Amino acid sequence: MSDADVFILVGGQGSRLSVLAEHRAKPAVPFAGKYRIIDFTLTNCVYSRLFKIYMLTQYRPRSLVEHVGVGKPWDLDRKWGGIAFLHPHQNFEGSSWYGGTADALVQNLDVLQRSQAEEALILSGDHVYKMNYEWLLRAHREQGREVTLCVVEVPWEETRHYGIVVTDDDGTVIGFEEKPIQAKSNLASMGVYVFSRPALVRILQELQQEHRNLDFGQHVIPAMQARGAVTTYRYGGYWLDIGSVHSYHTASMDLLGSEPRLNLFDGQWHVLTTEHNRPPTCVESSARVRDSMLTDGCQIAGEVLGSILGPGVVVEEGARVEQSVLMDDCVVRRGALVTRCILDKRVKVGPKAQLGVAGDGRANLEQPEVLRYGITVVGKDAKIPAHQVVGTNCLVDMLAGADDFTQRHLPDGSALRTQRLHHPVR
Amino acid sequence: MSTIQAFVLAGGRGEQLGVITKHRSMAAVPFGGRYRIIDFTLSNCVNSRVHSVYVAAQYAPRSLQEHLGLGRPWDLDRRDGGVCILLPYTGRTDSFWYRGTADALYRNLDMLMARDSEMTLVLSGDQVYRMNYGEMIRQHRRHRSRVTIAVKSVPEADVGRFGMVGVEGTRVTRFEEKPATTDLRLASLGIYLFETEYLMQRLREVVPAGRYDLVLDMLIPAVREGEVTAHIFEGFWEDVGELDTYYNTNRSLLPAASSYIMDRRRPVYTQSEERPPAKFGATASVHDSIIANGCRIFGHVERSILFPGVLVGEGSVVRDSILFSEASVYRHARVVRSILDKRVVVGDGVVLGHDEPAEASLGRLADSEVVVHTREGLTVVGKFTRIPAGFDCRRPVMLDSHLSEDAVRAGLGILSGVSA
Repeated sequence: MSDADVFILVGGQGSRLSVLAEHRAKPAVPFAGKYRIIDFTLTNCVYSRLFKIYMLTQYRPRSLVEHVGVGKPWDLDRKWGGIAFLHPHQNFEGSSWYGGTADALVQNLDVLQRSQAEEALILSGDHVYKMNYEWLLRAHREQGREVTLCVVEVPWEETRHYGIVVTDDDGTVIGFEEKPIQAKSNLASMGVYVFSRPALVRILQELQQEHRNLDFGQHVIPAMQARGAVTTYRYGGYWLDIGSVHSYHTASMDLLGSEPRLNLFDGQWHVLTTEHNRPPTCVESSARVRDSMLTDGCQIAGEVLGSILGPGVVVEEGARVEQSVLMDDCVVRRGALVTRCILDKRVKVGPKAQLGVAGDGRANLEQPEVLRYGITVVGKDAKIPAHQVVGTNCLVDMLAGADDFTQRHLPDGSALRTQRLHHPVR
Repeated sequence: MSTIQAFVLAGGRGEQLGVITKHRSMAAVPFGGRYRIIDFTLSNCVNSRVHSVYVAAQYAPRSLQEHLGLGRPWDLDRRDGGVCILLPYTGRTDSFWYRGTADALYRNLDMLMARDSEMTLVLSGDQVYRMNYGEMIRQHRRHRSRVTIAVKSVPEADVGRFGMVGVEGTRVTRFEEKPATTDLRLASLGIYLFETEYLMQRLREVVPAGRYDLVLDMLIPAVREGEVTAHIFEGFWEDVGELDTYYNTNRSLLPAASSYIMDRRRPVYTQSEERPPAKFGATASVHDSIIANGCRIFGHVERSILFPGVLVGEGSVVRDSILFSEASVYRHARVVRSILDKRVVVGDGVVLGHDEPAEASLGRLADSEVVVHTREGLTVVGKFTRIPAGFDCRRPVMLDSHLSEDAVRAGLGILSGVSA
């Protein structure tokens, strides 16, 4: 029954994810040990039997393109449908970057126009949830409106973090509030929209003249709502926008409880991803592993408590990792301590180094809004020298090495940048 | 190097493994927490850049076929070469099962010719080893041999398990198949490299004359004719055709033993199932063990190997054991020196397995002549069998596959003590 084309918006910068998303698109950020954030959306698509997928890329797409490849893990390497990347490109009318989420579609309007699909499903590539879009599409057809917008109930005290949707009794959208102080409703927009395809083509053609930075949330949906064409679909499960370092860390820790809200062990809905060939994990005699998730290929001789380890992580004897997320192939040497940290891929923590040591708790100097809840973030391939002490709310740049650490003790809120990069981010 | 093909003999049943090989061939037996035995040979092939691989199967081939698929994990889903499973077939005049190893080759002569390969590696699908065939191939070329066989020195106690080889220089001058005693110390590893031309010519002479064994009817005569060269291999190699060697070879992967499998430059490839990372609960304690993705551990695990998706419930102890995919041990159970096949369920409070090594006969399967022996005091449980809560059995036993809780409670399907 599912006859919809899927457009996944994966071009945004995740600036609130600090160094984790400086060198990769946010959907390509590793999550829950072996996955990338995009895996959840792609898995939803194929379990919902939607096989025609376009990925609208812009910001640092390479790791995403490499991860998704031809779509084999999702059975998307197929003759009919499959996966296609729509990247900003040049043509005879000129060339421009995508100005906004809807502008990305405007610049690929021909794809939308020549499609045979009844609907276009617009998704965001940086949300973690398990959703059957078939039900959503069925509801859209039954309700017969031009747009169906997915909403999820959030706690009233958190409404100020979301785009809030106000509806009338039959679910028609009558207003929006962006991050309201005093919300009129507790329904948050999930950034998941179904459009009847001809309606989407029409509205994009209409609005493209007015806005160079055409955006779904800011322009397209409000314009459709003004015509009374937008209705809602209530989603009842776990849904999370991994927007910030804090929410990334919280979502990771939430996976560890005895009954996590996001069940990765659901045999009916195994999240699909590109697997790398690794031997199973070795847990040595001296190891103590509690309340944690470990991916294949780890070698553990030390302590791992309340943490998530990606593939190939090594924790040597006498080292301790707690309440942390370590991505692929990180190494924690003897006697080192890692507390409440997020280490990107291949970070090496030298012997007896200490990361995340609590001091005065000052927020980060460079990114005070992002790094202020006590999490320290280390960019990929950084090498923390032996005996180095790093406080909380710190940021260590990708590729930082021993010569970048001029102080034996980096106090809370430090931002250590290196000149080793070819393309510095700042 | 592009003109080498491999022919993997994977038809064997491996009856010494009892209920583990009831539904699968030896080559498809799970190993090392994630792999099947044939993965080692296939990975050796692709790591040695041999990309043309035939696998001759016969006994219970379905799990092997499913595992190999199109050969994708080994990059063998290719236009040029690739992997191909060869099962016995019916022809106009010759509708037989494979009658021996040489017969398996002979019946696929057309395949051996099809790719115009200069050399043919004849390998076995039931050995665990890591080897770069390139060195053997180079030696073969240098000596312009017709046949090169890989050999390794073995302890005197083991000579009865192998074909023993006498060598002068690199030339093989003697070959004794599984001798009771011998002065020879080099064992043939079942890794043979033939000139394809020579192999075909000999097959055409031998098999139509009613001789079907590769070693007895082809290799030993070739040794007599002075056509065979030895290639010395001193790396890790093990034939895991017996229950105790299977168990101990698995255990040699435990962190406290060695971890040769963790060599990232020459990985072992396998078909993987989609699973989340392994979860260690707040009450878990795990020591000296191998844990695959998808496991959920709330109890105590020691010196054990857990395949993907194994559950160990709170208060349970798993020690010195091997648990295949999706085996479940519920709460407060105790599993010691046991091999639990796929999806075995061990109920609450079960006590299973003997505490220490002991010599025991585990009986035989109804359709088999072979009585399974163990000196390690092992308990083996066939796949899908459900052991009811409170069941208590501390002696080494073998339990059949697909047994219901009622059957186990009534003592049915416990094979020990049934003598041949």
